[in-house]
Amino acid sequence: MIEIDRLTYTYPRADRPALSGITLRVREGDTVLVTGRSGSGKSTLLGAINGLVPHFYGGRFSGRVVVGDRDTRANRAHDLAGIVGTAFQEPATRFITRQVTDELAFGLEAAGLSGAEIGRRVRATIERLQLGPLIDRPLDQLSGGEQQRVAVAAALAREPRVLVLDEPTSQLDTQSAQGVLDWLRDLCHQDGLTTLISEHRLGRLLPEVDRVAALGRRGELEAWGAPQEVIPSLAYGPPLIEAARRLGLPSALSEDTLAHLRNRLLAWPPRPRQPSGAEPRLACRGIGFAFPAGFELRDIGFDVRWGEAVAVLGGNGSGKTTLLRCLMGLLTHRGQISIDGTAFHDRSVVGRAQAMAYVPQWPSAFLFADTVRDEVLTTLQYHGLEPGGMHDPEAMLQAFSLMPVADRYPRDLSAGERQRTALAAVMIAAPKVVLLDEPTLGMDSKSQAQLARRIRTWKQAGLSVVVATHDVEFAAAVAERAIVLQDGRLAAEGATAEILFEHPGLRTALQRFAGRSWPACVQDLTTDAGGDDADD
Amino acid sequence: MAWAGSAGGIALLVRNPWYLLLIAAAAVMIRWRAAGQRPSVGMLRLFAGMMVFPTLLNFLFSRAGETVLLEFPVRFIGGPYTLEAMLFGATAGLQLASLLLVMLTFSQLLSPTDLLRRIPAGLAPAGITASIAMNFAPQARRSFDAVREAQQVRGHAPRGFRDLRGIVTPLVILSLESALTVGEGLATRGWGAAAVSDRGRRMAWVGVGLFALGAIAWSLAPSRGWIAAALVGLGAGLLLVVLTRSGSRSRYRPEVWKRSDSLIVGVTLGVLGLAVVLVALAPTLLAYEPYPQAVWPTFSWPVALAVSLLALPAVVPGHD
Repeated sequence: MIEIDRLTYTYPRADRPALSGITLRVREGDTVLVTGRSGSGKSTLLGAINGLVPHFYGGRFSGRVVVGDRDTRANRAHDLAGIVGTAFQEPATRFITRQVTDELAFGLEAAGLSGAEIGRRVRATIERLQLGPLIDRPLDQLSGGEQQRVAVAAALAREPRVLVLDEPTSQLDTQSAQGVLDWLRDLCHQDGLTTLISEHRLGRLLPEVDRVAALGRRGELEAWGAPQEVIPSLAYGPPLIEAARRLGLPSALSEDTLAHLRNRLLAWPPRPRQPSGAEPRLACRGIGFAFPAGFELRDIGFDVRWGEAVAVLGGNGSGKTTLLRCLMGLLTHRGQISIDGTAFHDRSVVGRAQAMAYVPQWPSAFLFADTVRDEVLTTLQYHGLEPGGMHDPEAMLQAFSLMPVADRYPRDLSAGERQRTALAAVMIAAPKVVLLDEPTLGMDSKSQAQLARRIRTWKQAGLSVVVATHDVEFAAAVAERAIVLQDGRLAAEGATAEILFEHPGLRTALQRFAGRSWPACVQDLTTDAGGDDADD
Repeated sequence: MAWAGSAGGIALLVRNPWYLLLIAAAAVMIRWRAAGQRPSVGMLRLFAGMMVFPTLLNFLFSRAGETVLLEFPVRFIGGPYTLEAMLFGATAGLQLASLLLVMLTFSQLLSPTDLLRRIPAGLAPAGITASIAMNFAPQARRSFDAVREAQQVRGHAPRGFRDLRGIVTPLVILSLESALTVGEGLATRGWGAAAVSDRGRRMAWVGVGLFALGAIAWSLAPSRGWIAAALVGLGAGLLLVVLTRSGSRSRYRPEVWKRSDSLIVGVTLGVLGLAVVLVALAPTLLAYEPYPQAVWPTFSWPVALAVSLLALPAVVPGHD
């Protein structure tokens, strides 16, 4: 169905190819997982299949990509739209219309189908994909999971033969992500669609895929084959494989290995008692905020102690981001906030920035200087601090492994590098409390492990960290305690491993596998998480 | 679209402040009644800002006019500063502000998608460009807020215009990234596929050729203008056929043309036609010339009444 022959592609003004000598052949009806580190060219490869590469972006293209019987060199993305349906991450930014049915119909209108035929296909898509409750709802009022479903449905409405999905669950909470993946699996099986999915959450997807294409750092095809052949060879695999590696078991998970792994996990000593009694550093009481549209964050109260990380968990739209924005003063909220006993709730954003650091979900808008080094210097300048001592920019760049990219334009960097740049840009001010909103979005497993290690280092230095995340593996790896938000209310609070285990929808891979709360994540299996910061 | 075209066209033709104010008022009323956007202090500030800037600029740099308000015994910068220069600048600002209000109302009532659908299939790339352009302003606003927020989070209190320099680059980049994202979405959804067939392209070239021939005929034999007019008409007809017939786009929910739509289109285009005729036959009616000595702008009740008809969409509900 798809034939890629010696594909090499370089973006305009780039000094090295994003894809290098890719050759592979995808059979009709296969589901292919495209994996690799951030910046390895996964999205570019998908773009080469739907025709965006090279026609939309320009650049140098050599080799050949044939989809069905169409050579993409002679067919642009809009010509291929009839046979290749595409759903991107962040679908909300790519919706063309304002309503669900209009969005489904848009591609059909572009294809010039009759009104009656469009109506028939829209109704069929809604019925088959069970989108009935969403009909005629404004797209901007749907949850992240619903938006993702609409994006996939819109791609499928033209009845393509190939479906290309670029990180379809990156913004979704565990349950929504699982729902979308289950739904996709059923669709692919029913319709015999050839599907290519780029995804970081390997664990849940692997049982459903026929082939895995693993891209290396230079955009080369590092491995290609059945999941059981390729996954064990990846440097960072899904949690069960990582757990097996940590325990010295073979990373190819045979039945015997799995049984052995389960026994080892069940025999793992209970969770060590958390030291208690440390003074609360950040104290929040009665935090509330009401949006004009109706959603309200109500009466949230919690403490974060010295050297402690607290995970803020909850489904899409539960109020995690709103809570962090209230803490930072970006929303005019109710309630009290204090740091080390000093009231902060009456301070402006700039006033709170003296002691708090905040990094939003997508740090793109956060980075506005010409180079990575300038980002760090800009924060110092804003705070009126002199470089040196604990505010040494070079040491900060070194600490965040940013020296190799210190003179590069921040927005040209990979997701992991951008995240590190944003972190360095706020940490240079030596804050007491760090607020991170979905810090693992778009990050590969290795970058996530590096970030987890960095947060543990901050905690050892006495910093308090609040992490809003839907990534339960990451929450388990970094946070001692967790709070769960539900519809803007505090639904649960406690030790992270127990909180995750008590909520079946939030359980980590190890918890689901072993059926116990501890160990909750790979990092619980060893005191030294390991990892390499230098190579992102 | 007919209203926006007419109101925008008249705002460009008219320099008389009374009628410009009437156009601005019509735009505000329509925005309020049809889009639910009440006139706000921010809007008033923007309107005032657009008037004040050209007024000051012209006052400071124009030396024409007889009513001297200020004069200093200094070479180059000493003046004279005249009332006429100020009035000329103010009317230019009023014209710009009225035009902006018309465009704001237009973008409020017509979504980029609606615009995209209304542009002939043969002009698909232009449609995409227009759609991206319409998205640019709201996206730039969101980007501006995001960058401002990021600066505050990093310890910087906004200090007005001095900060703009640091914001412009990320603002432009963020907005362009967003525009590219929309473009990607349109391309992968099949928008613009085979917009003009090879046959259509050939016809379009013939149309362009006829246009050129018409121009040549006019320059060689201006006394036989009917030949040039026929050639241009034929070329325009061919291009129109190519633009409307090419591509194979359709509508899921075709809009129903109502009487009120006919009324709005008829009246607004009629007002535009009247303005064009007046500019040709009685240009002083719509113009305002404060030089050499400031006078009150003329006011004609029939003209004011005609311009007021541009507020019709505020009372007669029609399509976008």
